[in-house]
Amino acid sequence: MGESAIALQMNEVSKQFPGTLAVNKVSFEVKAGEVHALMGENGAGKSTLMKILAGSFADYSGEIIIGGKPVQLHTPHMAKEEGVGMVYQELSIAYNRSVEENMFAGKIPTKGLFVDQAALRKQSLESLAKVKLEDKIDPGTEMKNISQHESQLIEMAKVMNDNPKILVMDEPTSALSSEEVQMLFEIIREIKKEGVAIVYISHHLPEIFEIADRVTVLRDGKKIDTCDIKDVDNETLVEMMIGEKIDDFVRDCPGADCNDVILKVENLTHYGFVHDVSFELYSGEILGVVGLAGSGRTELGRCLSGADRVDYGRLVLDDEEITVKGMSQMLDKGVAYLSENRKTEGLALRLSNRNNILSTIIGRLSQFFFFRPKKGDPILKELYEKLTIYPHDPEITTSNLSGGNQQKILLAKWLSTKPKVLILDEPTRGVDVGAKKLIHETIVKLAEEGLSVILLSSDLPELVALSDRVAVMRQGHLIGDLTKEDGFDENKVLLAANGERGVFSVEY
Amino acid sequence: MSNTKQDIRKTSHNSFTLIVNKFGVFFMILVLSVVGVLVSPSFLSSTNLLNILNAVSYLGIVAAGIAFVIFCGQYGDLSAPMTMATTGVICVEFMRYGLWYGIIAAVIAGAVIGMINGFVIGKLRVNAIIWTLAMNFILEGLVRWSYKGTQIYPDMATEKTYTTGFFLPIMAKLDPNIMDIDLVSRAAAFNGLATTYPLGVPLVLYVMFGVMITGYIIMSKTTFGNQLKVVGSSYEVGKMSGINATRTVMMAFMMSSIFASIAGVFMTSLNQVGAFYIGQGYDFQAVTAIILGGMSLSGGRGSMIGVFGGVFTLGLISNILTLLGIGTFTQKMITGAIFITVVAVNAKSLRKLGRDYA
Amino acid sequence: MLKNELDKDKLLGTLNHNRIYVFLVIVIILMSIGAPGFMRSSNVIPLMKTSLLPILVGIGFTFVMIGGNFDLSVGAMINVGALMVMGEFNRFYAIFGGEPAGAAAVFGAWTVAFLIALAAGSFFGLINGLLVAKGKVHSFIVTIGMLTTLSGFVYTYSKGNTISANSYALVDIIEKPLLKLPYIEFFTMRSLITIAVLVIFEILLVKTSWGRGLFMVGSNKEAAWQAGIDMERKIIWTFVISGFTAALGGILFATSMNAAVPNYGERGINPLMLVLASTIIGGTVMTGGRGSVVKTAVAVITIQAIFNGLIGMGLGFDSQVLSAGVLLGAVVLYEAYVLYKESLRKGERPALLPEAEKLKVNHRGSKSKVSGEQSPEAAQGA
Repeated sequence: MGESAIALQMNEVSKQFPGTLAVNKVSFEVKAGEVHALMGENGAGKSTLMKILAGSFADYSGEIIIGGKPVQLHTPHMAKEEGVGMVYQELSIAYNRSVEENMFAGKIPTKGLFVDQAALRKQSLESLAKVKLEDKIDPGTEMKNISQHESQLIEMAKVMNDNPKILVMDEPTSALSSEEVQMLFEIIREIKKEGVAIVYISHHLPEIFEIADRVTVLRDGKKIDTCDIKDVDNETLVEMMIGEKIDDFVRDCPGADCNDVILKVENLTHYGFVHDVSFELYSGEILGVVGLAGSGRTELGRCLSGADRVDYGRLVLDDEEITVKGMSQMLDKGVAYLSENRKTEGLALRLSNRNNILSTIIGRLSQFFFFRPKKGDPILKELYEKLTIYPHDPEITTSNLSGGNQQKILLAKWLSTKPKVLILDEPTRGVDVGAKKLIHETIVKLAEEGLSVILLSSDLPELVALSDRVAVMRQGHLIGDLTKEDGFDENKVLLAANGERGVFSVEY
Repeated sequence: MSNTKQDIRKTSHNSFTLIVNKFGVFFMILVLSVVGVLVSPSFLSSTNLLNILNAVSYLGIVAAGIAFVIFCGQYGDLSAPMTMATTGVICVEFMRYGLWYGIIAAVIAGAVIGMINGFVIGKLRVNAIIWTLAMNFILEGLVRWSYKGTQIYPDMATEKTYTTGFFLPIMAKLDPNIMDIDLVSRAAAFNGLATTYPLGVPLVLYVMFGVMITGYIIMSKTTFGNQLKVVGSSYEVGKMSGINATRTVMMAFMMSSIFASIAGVFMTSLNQVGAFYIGQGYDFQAVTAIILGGMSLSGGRGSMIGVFGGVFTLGLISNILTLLGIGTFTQKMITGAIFITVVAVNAKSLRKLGRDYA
Repeated sequence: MLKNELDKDKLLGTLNHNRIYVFLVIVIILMSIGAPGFMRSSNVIPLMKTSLLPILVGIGFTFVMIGGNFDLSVGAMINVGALMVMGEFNRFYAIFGGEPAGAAAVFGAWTVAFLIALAAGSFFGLINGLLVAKGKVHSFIVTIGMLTTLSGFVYTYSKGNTISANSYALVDIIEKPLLKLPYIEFFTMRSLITIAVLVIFEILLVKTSWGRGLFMVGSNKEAAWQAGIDMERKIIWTFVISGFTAALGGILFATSMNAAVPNYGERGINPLMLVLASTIIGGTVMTGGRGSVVKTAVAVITIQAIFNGLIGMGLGFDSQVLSAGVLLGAVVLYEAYVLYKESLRKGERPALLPEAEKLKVNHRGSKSKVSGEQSPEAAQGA
């Protein structure tokens, strides 16, 4: 596009969270009419940076210049006024209402006292035309009846109604098929032609190479570099994202001689979520499962633990054939699942740590219908010591702990069940470095004691450092294994997750 | 950068609010007692205190049950009034075979109602208010329809009596000699429930304390009670902790309905008639008492001791207002206003602490 | 194939949205067959007239529910409107000189009484709204407290008595048919006011950007917030409207009878039950975001038609109570079941669905291998 005007400039922008500096003096610029990819691993600070831009925080530091004018972005409204449009991963859609009402929420055209239905229809169609849906969708349709892919385009159209100068898209393709991605790209190219600056956040390397003009890589809250996409390749980008490991903890005992299969899974299927997944898990093994957003990683964990229905498949745990009936049954059999959503599914934040940790074993600590909390005391003591949870008082309400300590409480909650197979879904999400290190050490120690761990994580250094083997999921299927013997690193794992064949040790 | 030692923030503050939440109602009782003494010197006499307790004993039984539902994070059981009426009627139907038959039939009916409520709310996740309100209307319809608008008197039965009701026609069909039952003595036993005074204290008061203590033990000492606490705090977390959340919710509603059926039996005995309007207003009063007692509407917090405090507070307020010569209806108005104020203040203070709201 | 399914869903959805009209037609047909004389003018007019009060109350109730809340205090609001209009009329009639002062006193006193009673209803509604929107207290708790307070208030206000107006002038005007013709007789001042209010509020809901904003608030608070819609103010207004329309219902009802009682609805069919059932049957979504006051009104008429028909079939008054309860229960269950089914499919990947169909066929062929049968608890987990 040649040299064009700078649409957005961020100078030394920082954002502090309790315990961490999520964004550390990041400076970067986006030109009008370019697609600027923002890359980085989980926790690198991309989302925080974009939330600053969207006006989600009142307390960031640094300077933001839009169209040559310094601006303050302290509320979503201010951000919108300054021409920032955001398409979040979680679409904000009123499913009960029609397409046109969603697109023009808060600014429905009126004629005198009343809604100007004709104008609304006309404007909606114009707006839909920007995302090439004008022939496919009747603006009066309820959003409920619109597919995920089209909802996303409608959300884009809605954001475009404000004529933003900068359009931010956060992982827009995670739920899309490859044809749908192509359609989305076509639309992005159209919008680009109109001179809108597009910030595109994604993990998918092939997409970045296809759509982006420049790329900025963040790591640990700092900007690493901005380059022209022509000047980089897969390997360099991955290297920039991963860099030198801060968490240089590498597992020295890969549990090589653990050859007894503890869990055998054949053709595990939950229609529409996970299809035909088969694998074996050895005792004392840490099996990493990697997959991009929407690959069915979490759903696999939920099926194995009985949280979700299993429609078909065979499960053999410790030589016992199991019919999955539900979570409490799987817990009794020795399968525990640590959910990725700490706040909504993991911990009852209003209860005490004691209540939270013992919540999984209330039944086991009971005699004749009566709960014996005293019997939990040694368990609590052991877990508090093992995980060095601070403060030591288990009666403190969980919501008063830091994210790291809450995560330790969550881990303790599942360890208290003394599982044979522990499924960890993002065990270190939103956790500070110290707690992360401790959780990693604990996982390894547990594996050495013979516990089998299935690690579902999008944190690649973590996955690579801890896993004995990495299984790769893509679009609901398990597509291959990477073993330690053949050697795997983050680079290889990321390529595999992106669908590059030929890196696998075993391919399904 | 991170320092785990920073995490003790706010803990001291919290324990203070915890005390206020837990014992605020007893502070209120203290203040009201002082006011009571100022209003009337005989306020603290044992007769008056017994009167106060007696007046709220029915409410206490119902509140102990509904407390399980609120503890479960489900806002309330609006089917309690009609559960009381329905089970009272069923008790009258069965007491002709003996008092215990009547009571057991009433409790079973209560358990069934609670099970249906709990299934619909726990499994299908229907808004508890809407469903229990609908259930209340369904039960009202059932009672009024099967009795064709008549009431049932424990001591009266003609041929016609056996043509209406839930089970009476079936009973008459199964037992042709049903008219020969000595109804008078059985009815006397039934009607006596509410008017028996063992050791000078009404029987229903013993029952209330019995129910409260049982409720306390179930809520805080049993497996179910502790699982209920987790499910009440967060249904999703409970479910994802391997607790059978549907069953837990179901049992909470069963507790509510079973306790309501006990109150219904006594209420019917007190009125000496089984009718659909028995129990009206008890839903709101119970929720008032429970909230006053410091139980959080968002579930998982509060205790049966607080519920008792709330019930007693309502008794005190009503007693003082009566001593002041204020009529029942104005009392109702004042209680309602107090309730709204307490809830609003409670919600505000909780919000200030950055917690969830009532 | 997927496209077809969407079309089918859409069709069923449209049908479900307009189910109340289908219901009404079915009820009319059934009742005409079952109850002779059902469609006679002498039967239809009383039926429609009993619907007037719940229709008015249903307007506000529907507004509140569209905003995602409940107003359980409407029953008490009716009594507030009814008693206050009567009580205040008598008070001001006396102040304005009573009978000797003639028509001017009557007119003046009614005007003031109407305004006071409407203001009272709106004021109590405002308190509800403030507590819900600003106080962040659950609407059920607020309005059930208001219900109790107001039922105490109306008894205190009326001292437990029936209040009658000391002038019959208004009854004659408000209940007099405009044309003495079969069916057309229905149109009186009261019914016309009701219809006018209904139309005004339907227009407010559907045709103004205010109404569209309210739908947005009820449907997705997050989206409404991002669109810059003032949610709190809208929620407060819905409660004010509810207080206003319920009081107006009470006022018109009382003036048409020239008497008001403090316990209307306590022994008969609970107006709350009627209005709640009508609103839900009329298609207002329990969680907010969809609804229509006209459909609520049609649902009121449908339920009244069922009641009326049951009487016509020789069934007692009590069968009405039961049928309303069962109808309400059935609709709530149906709605809940649909939502439950939807929740099981949440997060499904559309890209995997064609394959899932294929897999289902294959798996059915090799049933012996199935180990993960569906169980209640596992299904619940999804």
